[in-house]
Amino acid sequence: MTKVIEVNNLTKSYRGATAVDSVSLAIEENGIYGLLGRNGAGKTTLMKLVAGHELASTGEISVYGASPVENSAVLANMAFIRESLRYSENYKIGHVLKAAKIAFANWDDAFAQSLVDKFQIPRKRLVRKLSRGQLSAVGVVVGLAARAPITILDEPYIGMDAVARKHFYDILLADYIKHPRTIVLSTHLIDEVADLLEHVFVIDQGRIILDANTEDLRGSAAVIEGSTESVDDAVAGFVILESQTIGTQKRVVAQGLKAEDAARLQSAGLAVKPATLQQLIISQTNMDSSEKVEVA
Amino acid sequence: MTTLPIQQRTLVQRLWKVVGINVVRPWVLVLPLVIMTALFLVTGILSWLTIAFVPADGQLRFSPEFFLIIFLFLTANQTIYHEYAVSLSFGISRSDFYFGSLLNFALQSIWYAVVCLSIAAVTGSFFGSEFSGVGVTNFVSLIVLFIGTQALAASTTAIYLRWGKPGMLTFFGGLALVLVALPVLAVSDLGSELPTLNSETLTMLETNVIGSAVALILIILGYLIIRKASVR
Repeated sequence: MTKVIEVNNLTKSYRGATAVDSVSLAIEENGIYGLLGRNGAGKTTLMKLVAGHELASTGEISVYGASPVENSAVLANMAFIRESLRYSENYKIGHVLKAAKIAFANWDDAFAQSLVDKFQIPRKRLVRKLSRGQLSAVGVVVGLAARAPITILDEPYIGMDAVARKHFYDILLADYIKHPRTIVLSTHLIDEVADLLEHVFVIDQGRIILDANTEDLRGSAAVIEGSTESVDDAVAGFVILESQTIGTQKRVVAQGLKAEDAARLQSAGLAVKPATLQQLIISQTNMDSSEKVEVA
Repeated sequence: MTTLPIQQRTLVQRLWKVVGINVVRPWVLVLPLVIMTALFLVTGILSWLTIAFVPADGQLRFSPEFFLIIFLFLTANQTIYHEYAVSLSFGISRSDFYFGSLLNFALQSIWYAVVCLSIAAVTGSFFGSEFSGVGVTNFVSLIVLFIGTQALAASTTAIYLRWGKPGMLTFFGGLALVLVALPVLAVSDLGSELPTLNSETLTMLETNVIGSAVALILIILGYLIIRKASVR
């Protein structure tokens, strides 16, 4: 695998407020990456920096081995679709698709038209008069049909309802299998995208606090439930990421359990199940954000 | 690092791509012609209906240049403002977007200069005065005027894109100061030392050269501003 995006010690500050703080990460070619974090964590700023839409305060960004800022050769390989992207006042969906067709070398017009029908985007209505969900769908159509070698999607699907989002995830995965490319998705709807992602970065207060392969991450922690006393005894010696007590029952997210540990706890009458990506990430973001978590 | 999957296009191809995106709604090119036709008809009807509208020499005075200046300023403003974020999201650099849009503006200027001279040849009116005939000087004057107008719109919009409302307030505040200062300077002793720039002392060629220089300065200023503008 070859790296297509490399970020080293990147910082972006706005009048004293640091939106992205000493971020370093690498993204390899052909994979679906998740940039996860709470609202205001710095996801959009980081993506804008990678796409050359913002200028870094300090640090380096390399896309295909060169800075993306004002680099036509690099940018021709990139699509960056944001939820808040505003189109020209008098555009209809047809105008958006026509502009995208001109802009993107790999544009698949038949695929775009089929997506417009699938997401039921009105063709005769002005884009500015579309509902939030329909506007989100416009971004999704462009992001998918562009087939850009690097596709960055900054929550363009956030305004869509649950059914439409499920359609989007299914189409994204099917299209990715047919046309592999590097896709970076940002979201705070972690459970919804968990099955799509091969690698996740979790950003909190501008810092990357988790940089892990999704499979490694899933096996790295477990949720243990049972009576408070027995859970406390059972998890002694493990790293506790999160703990919650309701009445006499306790539920903890513990890191470092091996298969034999899980079997032992289950035989002691405790419920043990793998932690979901969302549980893990919520646990991590509740930790001290200055600590970057490494997952083996 | 892997090599680029999509190879870079030539400069001309990249700029032409932006022109294509600019005119993705062809209506933006048709609308001025519709409005000019309407104005032409309205002017004619009013002249026919009301003797007061007919000038003493009996010539119909229809000059679309004034309307076009306003129209081109607004469309250039809208093009830069609305298509900046979309173009950058679609993998176009700021420089390509800016100069591609200017190429579009230049082509439109040539087109409307031809339209204006054609109308002037029919109506005998040019900028509200008697038309002196289709010549290179008139043609260049119109192009310089139209490009200058669009360059002014592009550079002021670039200020907004980069600095937002504070930038516009500072710009228009500064402009207001200059507009206030100029008449004061003109009536002062210092003003009497300055060369007078008006249509009586300048030849058409000199006006075109000065206009071109101003347009070029506006274009460069706009570029210097927009190349560091963030996408909101």
